[in-house]
Parts: sequence; C-alpha cells; structure tokens
Amino acid sequence: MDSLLAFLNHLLPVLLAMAWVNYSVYFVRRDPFAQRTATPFLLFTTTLQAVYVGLLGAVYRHHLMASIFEVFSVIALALNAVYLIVETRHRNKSMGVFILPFSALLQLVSSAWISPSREIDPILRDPLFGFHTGSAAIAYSAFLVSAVYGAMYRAFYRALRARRFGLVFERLPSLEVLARMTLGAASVGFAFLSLAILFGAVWAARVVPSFWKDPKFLLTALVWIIYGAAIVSQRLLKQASNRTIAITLAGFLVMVVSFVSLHLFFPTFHEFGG
Amino acid sequence: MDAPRPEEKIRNVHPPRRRAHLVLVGASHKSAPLSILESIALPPDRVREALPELRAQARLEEALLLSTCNRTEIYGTSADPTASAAELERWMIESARGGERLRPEHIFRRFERDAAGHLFRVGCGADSMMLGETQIAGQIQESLKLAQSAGTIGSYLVRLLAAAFRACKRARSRTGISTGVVSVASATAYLAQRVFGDLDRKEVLILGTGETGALAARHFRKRRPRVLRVANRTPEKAEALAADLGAEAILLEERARALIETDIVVAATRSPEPLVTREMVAEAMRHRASRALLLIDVSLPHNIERSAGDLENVFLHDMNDLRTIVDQSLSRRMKELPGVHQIVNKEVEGFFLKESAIEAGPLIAELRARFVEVRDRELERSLGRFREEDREAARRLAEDLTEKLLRGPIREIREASQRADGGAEPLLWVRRLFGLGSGSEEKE
Repeated sequence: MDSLLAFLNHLLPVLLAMAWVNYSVYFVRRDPFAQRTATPFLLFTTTLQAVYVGLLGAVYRHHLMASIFEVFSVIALALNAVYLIVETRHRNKSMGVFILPFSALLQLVSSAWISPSREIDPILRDPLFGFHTGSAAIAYSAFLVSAVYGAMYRAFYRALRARRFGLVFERLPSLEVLARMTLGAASVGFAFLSLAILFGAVWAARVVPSFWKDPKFLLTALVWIIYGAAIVSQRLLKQASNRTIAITLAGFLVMVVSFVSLHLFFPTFHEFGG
Repeated sequence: MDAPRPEEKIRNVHPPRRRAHLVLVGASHKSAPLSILESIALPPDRVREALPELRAQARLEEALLLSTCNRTEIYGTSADPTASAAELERWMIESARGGERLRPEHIFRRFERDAAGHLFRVGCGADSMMLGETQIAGQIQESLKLAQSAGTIGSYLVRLLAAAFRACKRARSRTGISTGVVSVASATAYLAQRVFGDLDRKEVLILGTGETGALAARHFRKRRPRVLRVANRTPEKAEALAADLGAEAILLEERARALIETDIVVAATRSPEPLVTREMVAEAMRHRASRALLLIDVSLPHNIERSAGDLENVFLHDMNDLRTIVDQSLSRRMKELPGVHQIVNKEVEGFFLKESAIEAGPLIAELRARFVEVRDRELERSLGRFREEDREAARRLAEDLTEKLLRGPIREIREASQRADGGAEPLLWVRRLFGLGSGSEEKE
C-alpha cells in the first residue's frame, strides 16, 4: 500500500501539469483534441486524487490535516472538484487554464514535503473535527476559484471599457457568466465556511473553551463577514456585479494575507501534529 | 482487314465499366469582376430550365449548376471531359447577359480531384468572398434540389455532394473557419453576446430603421432576445420593420423610458444631434439596479454622447470597435485556411478511394464467384473418390486454397483501381486472364 501511495504521490503533480497544458492549448488555440480530452482527463486525475487522499486517510487513520502539506493535497482535490462542478454547470472550459496551476502547485508542494505519520494528536481522529476541516478545505477552495473568476471578470470588464478585443475578449466566458461564476463559487465557499465555523465552534467549545479569542478564528469570522456582505449586497440589495466582485476579491485578499501572517507571526491553537 | 491490336481486342471482348469523369467549368469572384458575375448569375427557375439544355450541349451524363451572386459553376460527369468543358465554356459565354462581356479568361476549368477539391472548398466557405461564410452550404443544397427537379443529377454527383457536405461539417467543427463575425451588423450581436452570454432574457432597442439598423435587428432576432424594440423618427417605418421581425415598435420620444428596461441599445440613425445623452443614461442607470447596459453607436455623426460610456456598468462601443472585431475575426479565419485545405484534401482522397472501390467491387465479386464455381464443380466431381472421413478435410483444403489464391489478385485489383488513372488497363487484363465478363469457360 505504501508503494502505491508513493507512486500516486509522484504521479499526481505530473498529471495535473498535463491537465493544465491541455486546458492551455484549448484556451489559446481552441484545439479540438484538447477540447475533447481536457475535461475527461481532469476528471480522471481528480478521481485519482480522491483515491490518493482516501487511501492516505485510511492507511494513516486520521483526517488529512496533520500538516500543511496534507492540507494542500486536500485543497488541491477540492479545488479541482469545485472547478469541475462549475465547468459542467456553465458548460464552459475556458477557465481551467487559470485554476489548474493552483491545484498543480499545491499538489506539487504537498507531494514534495508530505511525510504522514501514524503517531498524531488524537483529536485529529475526531469525526466532528473531520467535518470542520473538510468544510473549511472546500470553502477555501471555492474562495480561490471565486477569486480567479473575479480577477478574470475584472480583466474582461477593463478590456471592454478600454476597447481591447484580444484574447481576453475572445476566449473568456461572457462578462455576465463570469459574474455568475464568481458569485456562485463565493456562495458555495460562504456556505461551507459557515459549516466549518459551526462544526469548529461545537468541537472547540469542548476542547478549547476560549476558542473565540483565537486570532485565526477572528480572521476567519472577518472573511465570513466580508463574503456575507458581498452576497447580501448582490442578492438582496441588487448591487452591480463589478462592485460585488470587488468585495469578494477584497475578502480573498484579507483571507490570504491574514492566514500567511498568522502562520508566520501569531500563535494559534490551530496547529496539530505538523 | 487488319487484325485488331491487343487493346482493341480486349475492349471488344470485355467492355469495362466506364468511370465517371468529373468536370467543372465556372467563374467566381476570384476570376471575374462582380459586374460580369451578375451578368451570368441565374435565378432558380432559369437554373432548372438551363440544366437539361447545357447537359445536352456539353454531352454530360449528370449536371449541377451552382449560381450565386459571387459564382456560377457547372459540375458534371462526362465520358470526354475536355470536350464537355469546352462546350460548357461556350454555353456560359453565350448565355451571359448585360453590357460587360464574359470572356474565356474569366472562366476556369477543373477536372477530377481538382474539381472535387474546389467544390469541397466552396462548401466550407474557404473560397468565399466573405471567408468562412456558412450561407454557401445552403446554396449548394438548393442547387442539388434544382438539379434533382430538372432530372439532371445521378448517383455520382449525389455521392460527391454528400462527401462535400461531410467535409464542410468536419472543417467547420475542427477548425475556426466559421468562428467570429465578418460583418459590422453581425458584430453588434456578437459584442452583445460577449457581454451578456445568451440574449434570451435580454431586451434590445434598435434606434433607426435604415439599412444598418434593420440588419442589426435581424441579427439580434436570430439570437431570440426576450424583447426586441424598434424606434424611428417616422413611426410607420418602425412599425413596418417591427412587423417584419415580430418586434415591438415604439416612438422615438419613448427612448429615455425604454432605456430603463433595455439591456442593449443600437443607435443607427442619421440624426445630427445625439439621441441618447449622458443624462438619459445616468437616469436610467439609477433605476436599473445591478444590470449592465451596452450601447452600440453605429451612426455618423454619433447618436450617443461619448461621455455616457464613462458611467459605471455602461459599455459604449462604436463603428471603429465593430470594425476591429470584424478584422480580427477575418484574420483568424485566414489562419485556419491551411487546416481546412488539409481536411479537404483528405476528404477528396477518401471520396475517390471509395469511388474506385465501388468500381472494383463488381469485378472482385465476379472473380470470387468464378473461383468458387470452379472449386465447387471440382469438389463435386472428386469428393466421391475420398473416404467418408476424409471428405470434410478435402473440402476445407479446397476452400483454403481458393481463398489463398484469390488474395493476391484481389489486392492487385484494389491497388490498381485506386490509382489516379483508375487502373483501367490492369483491370482489363484481370478480366482477360480469368475469363470474366464474357461467359467463356475456363480452359483446364
């Protein structure tokens, strides 16, 4: 089993890089072969990723959150899964070229440094903790997808205003579809982040009663509020898409900057085994 | 009387199935000025009348006439393609009308693969004035129907056209020869689609019912917007165009109110003053919540104030932008031409391979029947000499031998028939060697 895991660990970054090349060829050249094979190949790779993550969890008997590298593998899987759902729903595969570099990079970093161990903190085997971390992984993946779509929306919006009719104008989904994709992915992320906060709060209330003072919790709550504001302003207040998307992008920026700085500068109870 | 030469003898004894020779004579925008092409273009009724006439004059077996504003081309099959081409050329020159005369240098001739390749390229839009246009495929279909109703088309040209349509379909799906837009009017609808995606929930307002406005309205109609409105200074004109397109006519004075509901505005009038001002757009945007507004101004002078495009969520484009989109689209289509030619060449080769197989098919069947007949006769005569338990083995041996002996000649027949000249001479020798087609008995 260990040799199969090691084989998949090496294979997955290669397959994801190949999937990215395929989507790039489709985006730039609208190549019919790439058009036919891009989605099935990514689906195959994502299935292998799921098998890999599932086997890893089964063999080492814990939720894959013991180290940042395990988390990267889970996020890469969730990223591909979210992307495939959005691609199928909107019947548009032009965005794979922008999403797959992230999942390939995450998987590459994970594959290079992952070193799972059977000796871990027992809380990592708690099912509630599994729901919490799983929901969070899906939420962050969806926010990443939303941010990529949002950035593309901004690029398209600016190209239209500046009357540039190049590759961005030709190849991206229409402006309105990009807005729907951005806000759709943000809504999915918001829903899963709400679940992650809920499961986390219920679990932490038993283990760390003062969890609400934790900087990571506070910043997560801030991200939740920003995305919530964006969704409310779009759905209820009928705010223009470009403004709502600017709010989601701000939310993503806050999420990345705060998490990186937290990881580097602040102590938090969100450190297990790694 | 002299003894016949061997070839003549063969021909007399075993006449082969004669191949259909494809011939094309025509003039297009690449060979003649448009004024001359107009003089030879034929309406459908005239095409139907002309087909039997030119078939008889040029001694064609089958004939098809494709006549559009950019080309008049006659496709036919003939036993003597060179003579038929000369007659078709004469027919075209004689039937031309109008002042400027059609001359021989305006006319081109193609034969066999060249003729088929030309037809396939025409069908793909690769030979069109507006590169990659799709209308031509419908025009070829129409000419097929006319030839059918005139009774001048047979199985060969029907198969050729089917192959041409297959090639077109492949070229259009595998290359970008028909992607993008090639006219300013269609670019208006294309631009709207790049902003909004499907237009089935969008409302479109066309200001002006002149040529450009009407054309743009027709392009939008094809994309089935939820509402299509037409406004003009003369209400009767707006009503006429609206009735024609199944649209809604409004008064020009109602445009400010209509802006609140409308997602796409196309201004195409000759008004010297702007019809849509920044104030009107700003007021409309206040009532539109989050919805974007696309303004396309194809008028000269401009009918929409430039400063309206500075408002948030408003996209203002003009004729220059549309021309840029069209130019980029055409240059991309040009880049797709090598790919189209590759597909066409492959399809042409495939067509002629199939045709040669059709011609070789009866000969192979005849040859096989002859071998089987001899085998069965000999088996019937000899099986009685074998012991009961050996008969099955002897029968199997005879069958295997027959198959093995046939394998070589069949391969040779197929290869000969696929040669550019149709392999007429080798096929004649096969007939002679195996005594096929004359009913003569094989000499033992």
